[in-house]
Amino acid sequence: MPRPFALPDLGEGLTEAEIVKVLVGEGDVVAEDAPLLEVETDKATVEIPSPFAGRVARVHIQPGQTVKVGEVLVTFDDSSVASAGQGRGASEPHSPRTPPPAPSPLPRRQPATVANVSEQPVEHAAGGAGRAGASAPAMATGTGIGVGPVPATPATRRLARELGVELRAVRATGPAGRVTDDDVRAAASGSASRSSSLAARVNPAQRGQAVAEPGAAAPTRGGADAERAQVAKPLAPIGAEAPPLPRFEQWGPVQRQPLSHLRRTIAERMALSATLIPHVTHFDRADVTELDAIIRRSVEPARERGLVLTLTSFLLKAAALALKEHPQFNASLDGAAGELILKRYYHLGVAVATERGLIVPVIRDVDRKPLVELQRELATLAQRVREGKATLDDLRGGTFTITNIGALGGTGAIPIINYPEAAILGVARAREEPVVLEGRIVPRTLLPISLTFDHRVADGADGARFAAAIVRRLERPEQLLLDW
Amino acid sequence: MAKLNMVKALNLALLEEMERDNDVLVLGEDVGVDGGVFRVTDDLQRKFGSQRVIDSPLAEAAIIGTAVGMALYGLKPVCEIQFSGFAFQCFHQIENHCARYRMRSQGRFHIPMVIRMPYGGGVRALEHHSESEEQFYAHIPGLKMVIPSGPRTARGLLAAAIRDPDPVIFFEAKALYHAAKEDVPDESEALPIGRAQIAREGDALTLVAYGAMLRVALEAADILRTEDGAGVEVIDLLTISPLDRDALVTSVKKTGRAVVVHEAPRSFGPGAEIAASIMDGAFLSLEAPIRRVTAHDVPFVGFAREKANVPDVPRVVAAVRETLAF
Repeated sequence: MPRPFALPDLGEGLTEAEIVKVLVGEGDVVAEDAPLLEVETDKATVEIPSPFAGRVARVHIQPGQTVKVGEVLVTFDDSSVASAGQGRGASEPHSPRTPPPAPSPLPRRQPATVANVSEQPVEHAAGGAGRAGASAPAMATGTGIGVGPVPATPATRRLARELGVELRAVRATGPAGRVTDDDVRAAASGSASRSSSLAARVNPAQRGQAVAEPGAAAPTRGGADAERAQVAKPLAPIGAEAPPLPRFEQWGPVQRQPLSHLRRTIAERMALSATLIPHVTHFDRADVTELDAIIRRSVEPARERGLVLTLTSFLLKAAALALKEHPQFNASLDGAAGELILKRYYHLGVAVATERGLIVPVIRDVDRKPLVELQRELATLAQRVREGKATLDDLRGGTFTITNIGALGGTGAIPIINYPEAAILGVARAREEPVVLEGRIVPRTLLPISLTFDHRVADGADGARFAAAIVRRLERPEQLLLDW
Repeated sequence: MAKLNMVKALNLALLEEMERDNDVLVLGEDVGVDGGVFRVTDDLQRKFGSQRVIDSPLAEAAIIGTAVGMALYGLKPVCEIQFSGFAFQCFHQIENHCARYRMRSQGRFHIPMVIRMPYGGGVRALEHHSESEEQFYAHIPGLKMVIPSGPRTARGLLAAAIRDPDPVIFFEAKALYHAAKEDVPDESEALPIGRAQIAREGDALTLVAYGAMLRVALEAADILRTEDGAGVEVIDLLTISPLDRDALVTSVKKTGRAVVVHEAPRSFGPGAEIAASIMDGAFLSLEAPIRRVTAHDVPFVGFAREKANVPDVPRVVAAVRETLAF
């Protein structure tokens, strides 16, 4: 049975996109979530993953073509090919009780809540068990939204009945979370659930992991084979459900504001991280008096070369070098496999505050690049991000994140890990403070840092050592020059 | 065709019915020599004599009690209560006798009488002169409750009320008495009681009104047509009880939305019954909750503030817009 795949709603009210690249050909067997094609919207270039595993029967579009939301892009062959497929889709163990979901006439529930967020990634992390939890009836009773009747007018209810659509399974876009006639029609034509889940999947940072560059992961796996004497087992799935909110109107007037696409992405990602990862934060302070002096001395020569020198590039370098010493912080935990994926590359994300919200562009191979180049790349990337011109490639593939809250003051903050990384470094404002040195009180410039890491991956002592490795490099800047 | 205002149209209906049927007679305060405070019975006593156009004492209970006796005897009295606010004096006669004789006598007797009362605000009148209390009568089984919206419906419905074998409460909006003139057919005309009219066709929303509020509804519909491009269907209810539920349901099945306008206070007013009837019959067509634009739940305010109390065009337009945008 051929299964058509149409351009999903990519969010932000976009109605059309231009095809940049077609990454599959007719006859190809693709795994679920494998990249199908790249499209360019007026916001960004977005890679669209395959909604399911199967053989590509027909590709209906070609590069350069502009397609509207809902237009069929690719038609897939029978789903039975899926099990014979390669890549992630096939490597995920499906429990015998929960066969991979067939394309059901009723779209899966995609409530616009945290439940929506956790569904997709939990599915990856927990394999078969996650799938079972995502099937329509379970979601219906399992989420907070599943309590009480779905908000919809009587006319919409009748339409849903006539079209055989389960209201609870429809993604609501109307005011006050109401399911509209259009939502029901979209669900009936089979596009609603898909578009919403894909809209979630194409969010930049998440996509970076969903496609998980197989080339990078493979050698790690091979190398770890020797240590896999014990049998790896999947972790238990995490079921987090938001209870229904109280009726705030009973205490005073309220206003409901729909989340922007970016805000929703941040919310989903943060909730996912905070839910899934047991966070622990280690605090330290680095004496950056010397580093500060170096930066001050170099500001002018740097400017002559068209550069604005900042502490961030030194932080990047220090962190990358420290990560080499402490590889478990440059890793991701594969709960489904019961393995730690150590990354042999050091792509560091830097949190950039924009008017629209937080975005984390990624600088690649920080360990191998000279400081000046890091500084230059950082400036270009930050500007692209602020102008909304960042591509997905700018935003994904990170292995560790640095967030500098110093510009806005404060004495420190506890950052949340950029899932599915293992750690994040928060940096507050450096201040001159009285320090006792060899029995005398002297003014020194101290930089407060806070290292948040995944306690499943490392313990407090590891965190302290890793933080110290960063501090040491910041306190002795010559180490940065020597790449030690 | 003659262009008449509502006073003249009502006068014409009385004249025609009295000419047609010798059993029809008129009684009330000042209806004879004076021709009625609003001149609805003007000239009738001169034409039909004081045996058929009777000036009563200032005693509402006596007017209705006498009329009930006349009706039992086989006459067809048309009573005038000078203002509906004074009707509580005769409420006992209306509720306990007028409305019940057919039931009480198991069909042996019926009361073919009409009770006319001016009602409603908008004419800067005193306390007890501006109320809109149709819900009291509409709530009583055994009574029919009719409210025309202009000269032609006034004439046609009064004729029908006089010919009806049972008691009919006939409300006349004071604000409409001398308002617009309308073409009234030369031929005698009786409009069916219990039947609403579509005053304007539309498919976006059903606006239900009656009496003086019909004009307000039509003006609102004009604005919504020009400013919003929304085709509002206006239903002129004409009869409050028995309610023409079929007309309401048919319209809302088409439009999916409804707003009800009335001058009576909101709580337990006709709007509630109308909304409930629409819910019963057209529930699965509803795209939005049914809204009511009504007077506030206060005793009728003094004339200085009546504009803030009686629904006006901006309030109706706002309610329609909210309902359309729901």
